[in-house]
Amino acid sequence: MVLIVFYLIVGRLASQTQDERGGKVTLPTTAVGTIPQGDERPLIITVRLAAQGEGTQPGATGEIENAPRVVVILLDGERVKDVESLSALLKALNAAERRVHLRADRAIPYLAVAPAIEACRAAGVASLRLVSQQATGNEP
Amino acid sequence: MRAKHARGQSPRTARAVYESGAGPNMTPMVDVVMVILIFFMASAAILGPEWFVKSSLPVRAIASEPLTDALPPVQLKISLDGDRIVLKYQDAAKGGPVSEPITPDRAQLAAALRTLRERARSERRDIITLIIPSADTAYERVVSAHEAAVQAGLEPVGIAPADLDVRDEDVKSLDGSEVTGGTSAASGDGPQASPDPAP
Repeated sequence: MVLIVFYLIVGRLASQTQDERGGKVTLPTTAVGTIPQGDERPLIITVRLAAQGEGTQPGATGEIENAPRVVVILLDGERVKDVESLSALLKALNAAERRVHLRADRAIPYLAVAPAIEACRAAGVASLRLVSQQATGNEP
Repeated sequence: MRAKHARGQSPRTARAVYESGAGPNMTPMVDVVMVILIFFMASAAILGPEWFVKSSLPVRAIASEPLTDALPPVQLKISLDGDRIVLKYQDAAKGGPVSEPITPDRAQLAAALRTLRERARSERRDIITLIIPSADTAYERVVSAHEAAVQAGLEPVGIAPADLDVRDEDVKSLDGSEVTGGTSAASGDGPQASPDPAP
Protein backbone atom coordinates (compact mmCIF):
# COMPACT_ATOMS: atom_id res chain seq x y z
CA MET A 1 0.00 0.00 0.00
CA VAL A 2 2.75 2.39 0.99
CA LEU A 3 4.66 1.39 -2.11
CA ILE A 4 1.71 2.11 -4.39
CA VAL A 5 1.29 5.58 -2.95
CA PHE A 6 5.01 6.11 -3.23
CA TYR A 7 5.03 5.09 -6.90
CA LEU A 8 2.06 7.32 -7.66
CA ILE A 9 3.78 10.35 -6.16
CA VAL A 10 7.12 9.72 -7.84
CA GLY A 11 5.46 8.98 -11.16
CA ARG A 12 3.59 12.23 -11.05
CA LEU A 13 6.72 14.14 -10.10
CA ALA A 14 8.63 12.56 -12.96
CA SER A 15 6.00 13.45 -15.55
CA GLN A 16 5.82 16.95 -14.15
CA THR A 17 9.56 17.36 -14.58
CA GLN A 18 9.25 16.04 -18.09
CA ASP A 19 6.52 18.59 -18.88
CA GLU A 20 8.52 21.40 -17.39
CA ARG A 21 11.44 20.49 -19.54
CA GLY A 22 9.18 20.74 -22.54
CA GLY A 23 8.63 17.17 -23.55
CA LYS A 24 11.01 14.68 -24.98
CA VAL A 25 14.15 16.11 -26.47
CA THR A 26 17.06 14.11 -27.83
CA LEU A 27 19.90 16.11 -26.38
CA PRO A 28 23.36 16.23 -27.87
CA THR A 29 26.02 14.25 -26.05
CA THR A 30 29.14 15.81 -24.63
CA ALA A 31 32.11 14.49 -22.72
CA VAL A 32 32.61 17.70 -20.78
CA GLY A 33 30.14 19.69 -18.80
CA THR A 34 29.06 21.04 -15.48
CA ILE A 35 26.46 19.39 -13.34
CA PRO A 36 23.78 21.86 -12.30
CA GLN A 37 23.97 22.80 -8.65
CA GLY A 38 22.05 24.95 -6.28
CA ASP A 39 18.33 25.08 -5.81
CA GLU A 40 17.65 28.17 -7.85
CA ARG A 41 15.33 27.09 -10.63
CA PRO A 42 16.65 27.92 -14.05
CA LEU A 43 14.59 29.15 -16.94
CA ILE A 44 14.35 26.34 -19.42
CA ILE A 45 14.06 27.09 -23.09
CA THR A 46 13.26 24.05 -25.15
CA VAL A 47 13.64 23.84 -28.89
CA ARG A 48 12.32 20.61 -30.26
CA LEU A 49 10.68 19.06 -33.25
CA ALA A 50 6.93 19.24 -33.18
CA ALA A 51 5.20 16.04 -32.22
CA GLN A 52 3.04 14.28 -34.75
CA GLY A 53 0.23 16.63 -35.72
CA GLU A 54 1.25 19.24 -33.20
CA GLY A 55 2.52 21.79 -35.64
CA THR A 56 -0.15 21.25 -38.24
CA GLN A 57 -3.04 22.22 -36.03
CA PRO A 58 -4.72 25.45 -36.99
CA GLY A 59 -3.27 28.31 -35.05
CA ALA A 60 -0.12 26.39 -34.25
CA THR A 61 2.52 28.58 -32.75
CA GLY A 62 6.24 28.73 -32.54
CA GLU A 63 6.78 27.47 -36.05
CA ILE A 64 9.87 28.30 -37.91
CA GLU A 65 9.82 28.52 -41.62
CA ASN A 66 12.40 26.92 -43.87
CA ALA A 67 13.10 24.22 -41.32
CA PRO A 68 12.66 20.71 -42.69
CA ARG A 69 10.23 19.94 -39.92
CA VAL A 70 8.20 22.13 -37.70
CA VAL A 71 10.06 23.21 -34.63
CA VAL A 72 8.46 24.45 -31.45
CA ILE A 73 9.99 26.67 -28.83
CA LEU A 74 8.90 26.34 -25.22
CA LEU A 75 9.75 28.39 -22.17
CA ASP A 76 9.40 26.45 -18.94
CA GLY A 77 7.22 23.94 -20.70
CA GLU A 78 4.83 26.43 -22.26
CA ARG A 79 4.82 27.11 -25.92
CA VAL A 80 5.65 30.62 -26.96
CA LYS A 81 4.05 32.23 -29.94
CA ASP A 82 7.11 33.49 -31.68
CA VAL A 83 10.63 34.64 -31.05
CA GLU A 84 9.55 38.19 -30.21
CA SER A 85 7.27 36.99 -27.45
CA LEU A 86 10.04 34.70 -26.18
CA SER A 87 12.30 37.70 -25.93
CA ALA A 88 9.60 39.75 -24.20
CA LEU A 89 8.90 36.91 -21.78
CA LEU A 90 12.57 36.52 -20.98
CA LYS A 91 12.82 40.21 -20.25
CA ALA A 92 9.70 40.07 -18.07
CA LEU A 93 11.11 37.13 -16.14
CA ASN A 94 14.34 38.98 -15.56
CA ALA A 95 16.32 36.38 -17.45
CA ALA A 96 19.51 38.42 -17.34
CA GLU A 97 19.75 37.75 -13.62
CA ARG A 98 18.81 34.12 -13.82
CA ARG A 99 20.25 30.93 -15.14
CA VAL A 100 18.97 30.05 -18.55
CA HIS A 101 19.16 26.50 -19.84
CA LEU A 102 18.77 25.74 -23.50
CA ARG A 103 17.52 22.29 -24.32
CA ALA A 104 17.59 21.83 -28.04
CA ASP A 105 17.20 18.67 -30.06
CA ARG A 106 20.46 17.47 -31.54
CA ALA A 107 19.03 17.03 -35.03
CA ILE A 108 17.60 20.51 -35.36
CA PRO A 109 19.42 22.75 -37.82
CA TYR A 110 21.10 25.73 -36.24
CA LEU A 111 18.78 28.00 -38.16
CA ALA A 112 15.97 26.94 -35.85
CA VAL A 113 17.97 27.28 -32.65
CA ALA A 114 19.53 30.63 -33.49
CA PRO A 115 16.36 32.68 -32.93
CA ALA A 116 16.10 31.35 -29.38
CA ILE A 117 19.74 32.23 -28.76
CA GLU A 118 19.18 35.63 -30.31
CA ALA A 119 16.16 36.18 -28.05
CA CYS A 120 18.33 35.43 -25.02
CA ARG A 121 20.91 37.87 -26.23
CA ALA A 122 18.25 40.51 -26.76
CA ALA A 123 17.01 39.92 -23.23
CA GLY A 124 20.49 40.56 -21.89
CA VAL A 125 21.42 36.99 -21.02
CA ALA A 126 25.20 36.88 -21.06
CA SER A 127 25.62 33.22 -20.28
CA LEU A 128 23.53 30.47 -21.71
CA ARG A 129 23.77 26.87 -20.63
CA LEU A 130 23.52 24.33 -23.37
CA VAL A 131 22.08 21.24 -21.76
CA SER A 132 23.48 17.97 -23.00
CA GLN A 133 23.55 14.35 -22.06
CA GLN A 134 26.62 12.98 -20.39
CA ALA A 135 28.63 10.79 -22.70
CA THR A 136 28.79 7.27 -21.35
CA GLY A 137 32.30 6.66 -22.59
CA ASN A 138 31.35 4.04 -25.16
CA GLU A 139 31.19 6.65 -27.86
CA PRO A 140 34.24 8.02 -29.55
CA MET B 1 10.70 -3.29 47.09
CA ARG B 2 12.65 -5.43 44.73
CA ALA B 3 13.37 -4.72 41.10
CA LYS B 4 11.08 -6.21 38.44
CA HIS B 5 13.42 -8.85 37.21
CA ALA B 6 13.58 -10.41 40.57
CA ARG B 7 11.08 -13.04 39.42
CA GLY B 8 13.83 -15.09 37.92
CA GLN B 9 13.79 -13.59 34.41
CA SER B 10 16.98 -12.28 33.05
CA PRO B 11 17.15 -8.54 32.35
CA ARG B 12 16.16 -7.52 28.77
CA THR B 13 19.57 -6.48 27.61
CA ALA B 14 20.56 -6.19 23.96
CA ARG B 15 22.56 -9.34 24.31
CA ALA B 16 19.60 -11.22 25.70
CA VAL B 17 17.39 -10.10 22.81
CA TYR B 18 20.01 -11.13 20.31
CA GLU B 19 20.46 -14.53 21.82
CA SER B 20 16.73 -15.19 21.97
CA GLY B 21 16.53 -14.72 18.18
CA ALA B 22 13.90 -11.97 18.33
CA GLY B 23 14.39 -8.58 16.69
CA PRO B 24 13.53 -6.93 13.39
CA ASN B 25 12.43 -9.35 10.73
CA MET B 26 14.88 -8.79 7.93
CA THR B 27 13.26 -10.66 5.04
CA PRO B 28 10.33 -8.34 4.18
CA MET B 29 12.52 -5.32 4.79
CA VAL B 30 15.07 -6.55 2.26
CA ASP B 31 12.23 -7.24 -0.21
CA VAL B 32 10.95 -3.70 0.05
CA VAL B 33 14.40 -2.19 -0.15
CA MET B 34 15.17 -4.18 -3.29
CA VAL B 35 11.98 -3.00 -4.98
CA ILE B 36 12.73 0.61 -4.13
CA LEU B 37 16.29 0.23 -5.35
CA ILE B 38 15.17 -1.16 -8.70
CA PHE B 39 12.60 1.59 -8.98
CA PHE B 40 15.20 4.29 -8.44
CA MET B 41 17.55 2.69 -10.93
CA ALA B 42 14.80 2.56 -13.54
CA SER B 43 13.75 6.16 -12.97
CA ALA B 44 17.37 7.34 -13.11
CA ALA B 45 17.76 5.58 -16.45
CA ILE B 46 14.65 7.31 -17.78
CA LEU B 47 15.57 10.77 -16.59
CA GLY B 48 19.18 10.33 -17.65
CA PRO B 49 22.22 12.18 -16.44
CA GLU B 50 22.31 15.68 -17.80
CA TRP B 51 24.74 18.49 -17.61
CA PHE B 52 25.54 21.56 -19.59
CA VAL B 53 28.30 23.48 -21.28
CA LYS B 54 28.38 27.13 -20.49
CA SER B 55 28.16 29.39 -23.46
CA SER B 56 28.78 33.10 -23.48
CA LEU B 57 26.62 35.06 -25.79
CA PRO B 58 28.36 37.73 -27.78
CA VAL B 59 27.06 40.65 -25.78
CA ARG B 60 29.01 43.74 -26.63
CA ALA B 61 29.91 44.52 -23.05
CA ILE B 62 31.87 41.31 -22.78
CA ALA B 63 33.77 41.61 -26.03
CA SER B 64 34.88 45.17 -25.38
CA GLU B 65 35.72 44.70 -21.74
CA PRO B 66 38.79 46.79 -21.09
CA LEU B 67 41.79 44.74 -20.12
CA THR B 68 44.11 47.03 -18.27
CA ASP B 69 47.60 45.63 -18.36
CA ALA B 70 47.06 42.48 -20.35
CA LEU B 71 47.44 42.33 -24.08
CA PRO B 72 44.21 42.51 -26.02
CA PRO B 73 42.43 39.20 -26.30
CA VAL B 74 42.59 37.18 -29.43
CA GLN B 75 39.46 36.44 -31.32
CA LEU B 76 39.12 33.08 -32.84
CA LYS B 77 36.25 32.14 -35.04
CA ILE B 78 35.22 28.56 -35.60
CA SER B 79 33.18 28.48 -38.73
CA LEU B 80 30.95 25.47 -39.24
CA ASP B 81 29.36 24.74 -42.55
CA GLY B 82 27.98 21.29 -43.00
CA ASP B 83 30.99 19.03 -42.61
CA ARG B 84 33.55 21.77 -42.98
CA ILE B 85 35.21 23.38 -40.01
CA VAL B 86 37.39 26.42 -40.56
CA LEU B 87 39.33 28.31 -37.91
CA LYS B 88 39.78 31.99 -38.64
CA TYR B 89 42.07 34.36 -36.83
CA GLN B 90 44.52 37.13 -37.49
CA ASP B 91 48.13 36.18 -37.44
CA ALA B 92 50.76 38.84 -37.81
CA ALA B 93 53.45 36.23 -38.29
CA LYS B 94 51.68 35.05 -41.38
CA GLY B 95 50.72 38.55 -42.34
CA GLY B 96 46.99 38.78 -42.06
CA PRO B 97 43.95 36.68 -41.55
CA VAL B 98 44.41 32.94 -41.45
CA SER B 99 41.80 30.41 -42.45
CA GLU B 100 42.72 27.00 -41.23
CA PRO B 101 40.49 24.17 -42.40
CA ILE B 102 40.14 21.29 -39.98
CA THR B 103 38.98 17.82 -40.83
CA PRO B 104 35.52 17.30 -39.36
CA ASP B 105 36.77 15.34 -36.42
CA ARG B 106 36.41 16.31 -32.82
CA ALA B 107 39.89 15.18 -31.83
CA GLN B 108 41.49 17.13 -34.66
CA LEU B 109 39.57 20.24 -33.77
CA ALA B 110 40.46 19.91 -30.11
CA ALA B 111 44.15 19.47 -30.99
CA ALA B 112 44.15 22.53 -33.23
CA LEU B 113 42.42 24.59 -30.59
CA ARG B 114 44.83 23.43 -27.94
CA THR B 115 47.76 24.52 -30.08
CA LEU B 116 46.25 27.95 -30.45
CA ARG B 117 45.59 28.20 -26.77
CA GLU B 118 49.16 27.24 -25.88
CA ARG B 119 50.36 29.94 -28.19
CA ALA B 120 48.07 32.54 -26.71
CA ARG B 121 49.05 31.50 -23.23
CA SER B 122 52.72 31.93 -23.98
CA GLU B 123 51.84 35.48 -24.95
CA ARG B 124 49.72 35.89 -21.83
CA ARG B 125 46.59 36.51 -23.77
CA ASP B 126 43.08 35.24 -23.58
CA ILE B 127 41.25 33.86 -26.54
CA ILE B 128 37.68 34.84 -27.12
CA THR B 129 36.17 32.12 -29.21
CA LEU B 130 33.13 32.53 -31.34
CA ILE B 131 31.40 29.68 -33.08
CA ILE B 132 29.74 30.72 -36.28
CA PRO B 133 27.57 27.93 -37.61
CA SER B 134 25.88 28.10 -40.96
CA ALA B 135 22.12 27.93 -40.98
CA ASP B 136 21.85 24.26 -41.88
CA THR B 137 24.44 22.97 -39.42
CA ALA B 138 22.86 20.51 -37.02
CA TYR B 139 22.71 21.75 -33.45
CA GLU B 140 24.64 18.67 -32.40
CA ARG B 141 27.67 19.81 -34.38
CA VAL B 142 27.50 23.23 -32.78
CA VAL B 143 27.55 21.69 -29.32
CA SER B 144 30.31 19.34 -30.41
CA ALA B 145 32.49 22.24 -31.54
CA HIS B 146 31.68 24.03 -28.32
CA GLU B 147 32.72 20.96 -26.38
CA ALA B 148 36.01 20.76 -28.26
CA ALA B 149 36.72 24.38 -27.39
CA VAL B 150 35.95 23.79 -23.73
CA GLN B 151 38.11 20.67 -23.78
CA ALA B 152 40.97 22.69 -25.21
CA GLY B 153 40.64 25.08 -22.30
CA LEU B 154 39.31 27.98 -24.30
CA GLU B 155 37.00 30.26 -22.44
CA PRO B 156 34.82 32.15 -23.01
CA VAL B 157 33.20 30.46 -25.95
CA GLY B 158 30.33 32.18 -27.65
CA ILE B 159 27.84 31.19 -30.25
CA ALA B 160 26.99 33.68 -32.92
CA PRO B 161 23.45 33.99 -34.17
CA ALA B 162 23.19 32.53 -37.64
CA ASP B 163 22.86 35.88 -39.34
CA LEU B 164 25.60 37.62 -37.42
CA ASP B 165 28.12 38.95 -39.85
CA VAL B 166 31.48 39.07 -38.17
CA ARG B 167 33.91 40.46 -40.65
CA ASP B 168 37.48 39.35 -40.71
CA GLU B 169 38.65 42.85 -39.85
CA ASP B 170 36.85 42.60 -36.54
CA VAL B 171 39.07 39.75 -35.53
CA LYS B 172 41.86 41.05 -33.42
CA SER B 173 45.37 40.20 -34.34
CA LEU B 174 47.17 37.21 -32.93
CA ASP B 175 50.06 39.57 -32.92
CA GLY B 176 52.76 37.12 -31.87
CA SER B 177 56.18 38.20 -32.99
CA GLU B 178 58.05 35.27 -31.48
CA VAL B 179 55.70 32.58 -32.59
CA THR B 180 57.60 29.49 -33.54
CA GLY B 181 55.17 28.38 -36.15
CA GLY B 182 53.36 25.93 -33.95
CA THR B 183 50.22 26.03 -36.01
CA SER B 184 50.54 24.52 -39.39
CA ALA B 185 49.45 26.60 -42.30
CA ALA B 186 46.26 26.12 -44.18
CA SER B 187 47.75 23.29 -46.14
CA GLY B 188 45.65 20.54 -44.71
CA ASP B 189 48.29 18.41 -43.00
CA GLY B 190 46.42 19.12 -39.85
CA PRO B 191 47.65 20.92 -36.79
CA GLN B 192 50.69 19.83 -34.88
CA ALA B 193 51.04 20.02 -31.19
CA SER B 194 54.67 21.08 -31.27
CA PRO B 195 56.74 22.96 -33.79
CA ASP B 196 58.63 20.40 -35.80
CA PRO B 197 61.20 21.96 -38.10
CA ALA B 198 61.37 20.21 -41.40
CA PRO B 199 64.74 18.57 -42.19
